Amino acid sequence: MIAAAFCLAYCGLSGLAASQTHRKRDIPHVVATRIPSWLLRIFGTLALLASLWVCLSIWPIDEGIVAWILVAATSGIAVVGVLSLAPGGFWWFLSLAAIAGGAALGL
Amino acid sequence: MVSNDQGAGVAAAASAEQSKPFNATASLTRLHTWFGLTAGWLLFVIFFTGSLTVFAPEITLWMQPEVSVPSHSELGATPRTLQTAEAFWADKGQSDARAMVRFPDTRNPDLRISFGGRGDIKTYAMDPLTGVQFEPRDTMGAQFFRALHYRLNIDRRSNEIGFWIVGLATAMMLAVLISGVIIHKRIFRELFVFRSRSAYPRAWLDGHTALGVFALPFLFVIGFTGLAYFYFLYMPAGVSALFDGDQAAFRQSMSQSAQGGGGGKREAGAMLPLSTFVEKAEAAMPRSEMASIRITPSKGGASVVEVRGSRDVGIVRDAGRVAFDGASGDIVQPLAAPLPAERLQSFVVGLHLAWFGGYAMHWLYFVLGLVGAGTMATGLVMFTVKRSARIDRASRADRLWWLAVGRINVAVIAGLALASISYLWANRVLAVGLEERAMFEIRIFFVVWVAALLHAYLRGAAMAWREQLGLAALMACSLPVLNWMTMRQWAGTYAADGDWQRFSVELVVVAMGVGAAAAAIKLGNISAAAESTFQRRNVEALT
Repeated sequence: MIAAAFCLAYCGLSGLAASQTHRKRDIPHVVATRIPSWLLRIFGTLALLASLWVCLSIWPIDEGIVAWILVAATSGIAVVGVLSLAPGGFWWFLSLAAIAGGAALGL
Repeated sequence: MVSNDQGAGVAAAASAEQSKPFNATASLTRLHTWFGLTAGWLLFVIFFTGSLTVFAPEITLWMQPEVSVPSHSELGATPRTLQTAEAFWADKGQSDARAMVRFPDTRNPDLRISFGGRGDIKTYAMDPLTGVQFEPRDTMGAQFFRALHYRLNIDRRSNEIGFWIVGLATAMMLAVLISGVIIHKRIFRELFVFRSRSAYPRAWLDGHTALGVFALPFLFVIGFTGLAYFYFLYMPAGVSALFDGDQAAFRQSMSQSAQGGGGGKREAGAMLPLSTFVEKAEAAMPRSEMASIRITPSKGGASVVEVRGSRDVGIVRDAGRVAFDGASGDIVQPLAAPLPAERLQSFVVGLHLAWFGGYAMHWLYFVLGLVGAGTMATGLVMFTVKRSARIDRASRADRLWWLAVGRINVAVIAGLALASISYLWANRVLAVGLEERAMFEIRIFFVVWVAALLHAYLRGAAMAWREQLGLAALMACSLPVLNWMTMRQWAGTYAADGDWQRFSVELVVVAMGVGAAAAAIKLGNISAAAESTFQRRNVEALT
């Protein structure tokens, strides 16, 4: 389940990162996506909230919030790392794999 | 002698400096840089050792290969474990000494019974079912990393300077975090920016920012809770008011709950079986698993037996404890609801120590602790990398200072990695029967660390990065081989035996070795460029 929370947070932060690719000065090294920013922001926020929900379903509320902050931080660093290594197609492949993985683990 | 022209120039410069409007960002940048540099060396050590401490029981288990992990899952104060403890107690129990029985749990598979007080403790480790005694080698294990983490391994009984230095560094870290957030104006827009292929100062700044910003909540919480943990040292007003500044009296009052509780005279007599106390404690604390029993002899009366619940029950450690009269079994100190202030303090401590959430939480703390260490390391390296770009405008004194910083960086970052892996090697290489063996392991750690500083001074930063990190990588990656040669154990045998704790320790060490190898290549190349510029300019300045 914690892996599902991680995957969802990874997806959410990937979505938020992708929403910043339209303006070249925000993430200049990343290949831009054609998906509208507002859609990516909604997707990202929902995925992050889903990750929080998974954490709260594993732990009591105090521990769950702490765990979610840590999970989001770890997955954020993973997103940044992947973005720097593979700013093109591989990044999208990984994000899709994370969505599939998160969904599978969540189910 | 200063000429009039020079004096006028200096005065004009001072006047111009004074007439400049106050620039908060520039001031905070200076604060971030200099606090970050001076506290960064220490903070790297604190975060690195703190991360290792998260898995202290596992590391200690690896360092005591004589303790075998039972194939059964007999955890806690089960009837069979109690039977083993009582059989041992009947044989070796001492009525006139303090004693502690620690029941096996998921992280500590053996049953441990110890006698004695501070500085003179004799511990027996055994299989919780068969009672077969293990004879673990004399080692501090991961307790050494813990001591280094919060008091720089300075004996707390001799003085408290270690606490104070760590506390000061932590307070400086909080200032560095706040100033870092303020000076980084595009913090959210550049949240995902890490241009690793850019020129070096940019890549290092991006890396430093990305690590620091994502780990910011963790760093802030861990720093604040670390300070609040030792509130009685850093904010001694309460102790001064209530105990006249006597820290020893304060600590005694905090720890004497069992002896002091209950009042009334207790009759001397033979102690009841341990199972009696466990049964009564289970009735008093139905939500908690029994973790340990402490037996304290009292003057002229029967012993006081204190049963404690498991720690892993949530962020707030309200597992509780109940104290009994050893001879009659009467409760001398009932389970009391903690005061709000105690609960707050317990929350703070629980948040810092991560005694909740199980292994998933421990891994998150471990990874983010290393990220914290990485933030410090990238910041320290960036200090010299940035300055190598403006070496032409620097004075000779500045250049020498930057050279020194580069070498201290190597000694602190790579040297600590090398010393830590040497500590694990020493654990396997030193003879088991060596007198003061645990002390020798620690001495080897510090000797290697000092040698790393000398090596960095003599070889220069570029070569020292490569050689120290390269050696650390080699030693880490070959640790399973050494383990096999000395103990006939390695990750493969651990996996076959289902000993996943030791397996994980060895696997993580190897993974860290691979990381050190990659860092050796990267940092060696960067420092080579920076150092050659520094040295070229210094030669020019000297000639």
